[in-house]
Amino acid sequence: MWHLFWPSRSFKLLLLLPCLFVGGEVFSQDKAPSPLPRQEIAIDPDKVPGVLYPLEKIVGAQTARFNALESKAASNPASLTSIDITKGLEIEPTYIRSILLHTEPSYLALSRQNKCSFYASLENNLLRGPQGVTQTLPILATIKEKETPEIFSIDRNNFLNLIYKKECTANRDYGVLFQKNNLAKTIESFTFSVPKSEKQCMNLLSEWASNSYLPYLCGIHEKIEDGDRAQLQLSQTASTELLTRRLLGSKIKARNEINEVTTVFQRNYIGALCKGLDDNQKFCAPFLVDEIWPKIIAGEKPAWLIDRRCQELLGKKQLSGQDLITCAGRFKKQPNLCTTVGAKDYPALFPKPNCSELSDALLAEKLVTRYRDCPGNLDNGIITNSFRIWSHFLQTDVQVSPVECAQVPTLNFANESLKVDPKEGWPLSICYQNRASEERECLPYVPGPSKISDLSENVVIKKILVNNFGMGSDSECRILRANEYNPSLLEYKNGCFIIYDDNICTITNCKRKIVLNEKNITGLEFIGTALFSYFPDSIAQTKSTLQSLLAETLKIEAREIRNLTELTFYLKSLKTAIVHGIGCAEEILPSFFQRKYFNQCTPLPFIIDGISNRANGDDVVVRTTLDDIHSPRIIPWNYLFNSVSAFQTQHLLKTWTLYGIKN
Amino acid sequence: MALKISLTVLLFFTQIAFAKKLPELATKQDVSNIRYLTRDGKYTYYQRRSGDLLLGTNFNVSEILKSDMGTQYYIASSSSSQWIVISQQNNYQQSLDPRLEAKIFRAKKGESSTIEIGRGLNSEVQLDGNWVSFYSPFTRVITIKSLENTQIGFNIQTPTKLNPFFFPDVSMADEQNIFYVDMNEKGESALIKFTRVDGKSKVIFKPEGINRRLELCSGFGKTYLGAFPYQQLDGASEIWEISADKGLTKPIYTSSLPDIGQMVCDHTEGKIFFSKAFKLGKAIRHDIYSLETKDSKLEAISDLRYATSLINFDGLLLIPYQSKFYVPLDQKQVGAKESLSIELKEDK
Repeated sequence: MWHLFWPSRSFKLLLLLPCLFVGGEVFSQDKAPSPLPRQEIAIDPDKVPGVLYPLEKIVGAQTARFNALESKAASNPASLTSIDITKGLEIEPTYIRSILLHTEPSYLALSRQNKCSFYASLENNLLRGPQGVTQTLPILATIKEKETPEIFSIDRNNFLNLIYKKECTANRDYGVLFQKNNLAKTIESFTFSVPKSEKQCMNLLSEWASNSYLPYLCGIHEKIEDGDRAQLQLSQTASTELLTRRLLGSKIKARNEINEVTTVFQRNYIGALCKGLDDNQKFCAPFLVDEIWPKIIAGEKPAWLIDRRCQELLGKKQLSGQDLITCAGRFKKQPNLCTTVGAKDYPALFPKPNCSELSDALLAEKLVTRYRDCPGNLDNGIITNSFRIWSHFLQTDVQVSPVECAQVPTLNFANESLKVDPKEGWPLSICYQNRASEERECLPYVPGPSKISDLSENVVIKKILVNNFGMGSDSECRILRANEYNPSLLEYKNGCFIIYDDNICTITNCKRKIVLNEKNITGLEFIGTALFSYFPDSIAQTKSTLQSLLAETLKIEAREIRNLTELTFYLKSLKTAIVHGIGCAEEILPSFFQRKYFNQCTPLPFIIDGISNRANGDDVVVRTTLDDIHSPRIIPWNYLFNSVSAFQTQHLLKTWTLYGIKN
Repeated sequence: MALKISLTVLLFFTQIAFAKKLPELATKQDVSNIRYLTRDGKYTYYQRRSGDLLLGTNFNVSEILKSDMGTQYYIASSSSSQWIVISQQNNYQQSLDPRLEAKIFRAKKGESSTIEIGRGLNSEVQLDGNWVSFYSPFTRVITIKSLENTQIGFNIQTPTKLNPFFFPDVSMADEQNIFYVDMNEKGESALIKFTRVDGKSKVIFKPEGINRRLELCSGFGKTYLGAFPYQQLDGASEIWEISADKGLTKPIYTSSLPDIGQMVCDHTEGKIFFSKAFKLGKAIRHDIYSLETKDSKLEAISDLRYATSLINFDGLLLIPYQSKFYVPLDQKQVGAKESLSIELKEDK
């Protein structure tokens, strides 16, 4: 509770001084000589800093005194062999005062726990003077054969080595535990408990505050922050500034080494802890507030829930911890931001839910969504849902650019389907007359560009053109929209271009022409229709359905879900389980789809992955195959139930189409 | 936990109990196969699993369209129209996309010969059932055709939309002026008037922000515009009367709650039926209400709590709910029951 009595920085100054300097020889201010003029910085009850006496003036005066001290100390470097530590060794009080003014309040709170915490904080670069963290310290010490202490400048590590010989000897061992080689095991040995109530959180924070390892954990956090800052600086540093770049590079390397052996949750938890030592709300609020944003910052919920949206909001490919905090803050303050971010590059149902609804949905969801997709560019919900289900169970983590956002799920479906059924697994082919064999040949393809897949349209067309139309094997086929292709420009004079006529090119709706060295290529026939069954739709079903494909490739078990009780039990008791199915769009999304005809039902696949605590607890977290993967909606269970019931009446086998799946 | 589960179960059954207060539509033919029934009971249009669309009369059954298994049919018409407009969606269960275009046919009520008039979605009969409108999502063209002479017609090209699943709502004020609701590539909605004489479109009304879905509805010579929120948690709702000359008039209905809409305006003169929001504890629920256009008087005509849509089925208002169709509590409906050849199952 000590932090509660620290209402202002100036008041802290008053309180901290006696706490730090009373007792302990090293901290004793009473015994120290006062070789520098105190000027007006002396704490006079009549001149209460920050209230009657301007803090700015105090800082100015303190900086002037510090500069004088530093130049004096610098001119007198300490020789370890000449110092007599039995006569006392302490940090010069002016420097201590400057620490009070320049160190983060949270770290000040940490350093004042006890002497050893103070030294550990110093060791871990948590205490800052006017020039930040420095490698040398001004100290008061007495050289052998003399009686009066003098001001010296000493290397910080040397000073701590001297101190640790005498006291706080355990700090040395702690330091070893946090070295590069031991870090993974050390971090693993900690339990980062998530508090469930305010009282529990206060107790937890109090326990952490008295933990001797905490300054070392905060040291790790500072290295991560340093690395993040260095990453930003590096991109703005000229390549000729080799020394600066090397320095920044070493900071980034140190951060990366820490990131390799720690989880996002651990890093965020430690960060929240280190920033919240002076104010319990800073640490506790993220765990206790019923919103997703602070929980992500605190590491209680994974960052991938918002990182793709955050990348788009900030226009960055790589995000630092600070970026996540910025995004979370903006999502919280501007609820409408979530309805539009990324809508153009990754087409999906619009508007998306606002940040408030999104927060409620993300709190309850559990689908793993470390990728992007774009339902607007895909015209078969089976492919969209299958990719989402595979990615959930396989924990897929992939960066998907807007150009390939429809291609990635389709290729995934084609590959999995061909694995199970190499002959009929994928229906789309490009057929041509092979001039060498004089036979008609057909090659399976997936519309859209990809550099890595042999099934992608550009690769398949290249193969045909190389074999049949004399195209050079070192060239590539580029896919372009009609409005991008301008044959009068030099860049389009030579090479292979696949030009899509319409804005949208989907697996069933695409008009294209192929141009090689300015000549239209004819004789290629695109055949097949991308039709698949989600659930069996005939009793004598021979072709695989999505349900059978998932069962075969993921080894998942499916269970029919008939009511809210079953759904709640299934989702809450089975860790990775999700529920998928098909219902009528008019019932699931009545604000988007108007019913105009009798028995109208637009079949819409969806995934349910949570029960929302909002309202009466009978709302479910749903992603339809029209929704952006990062924009789940909260929908009353009744809508879902109605939608599945309505679809059942229109299904060829009158099948109930709501199933839980788990592996 | 046990308490929570038992409460949930109770809630679930309570909703079913509410539904039973309304009479349910029952027909001799399996309701799920029916696509259209005329009010006088003379004609029943229904589909078969095999992919055929059939017309049943008192003494005869004739095939109207034939297709493959898994084909879905929808029929648009109105009480006053001599025409029906049939949408035939092939591969309905294997190409799960709301943009799946249908072949659109025209037929005279009671006759089995058809003419294909185009491809698209959202086909609706207009102006007493003498015209039809439909939309193609891939070309973004609204097509309007005369049902009497299908050679007469015109197209309205609409711009790229931010929502790839947005389909414009169309209402013909007369043969020259057409209202439609569209969305642009920024996601903004607007009510637009297309004038056939000069082929130009003019924005009549643009709501603030992007969280407003505009919906058109017409009947008895009048056209109404509803603005309802997309977000079901918050947002206000409004309904106006609009005319080709004056545009929007004063709102005839406003509410601070997020109604769903799905207005029906061609059932009873002077009344609009729609799905309206109300608060139930912390939650927002929806039921069907009738709104008097003269004095804005509201009356609840269902008590389902999750009634999100309704349709005018050749003069009979029906509320689809849990795969059944319920008849709202409305005076005119009760009277109408006497003249219907279809049955209404009363709650016992």
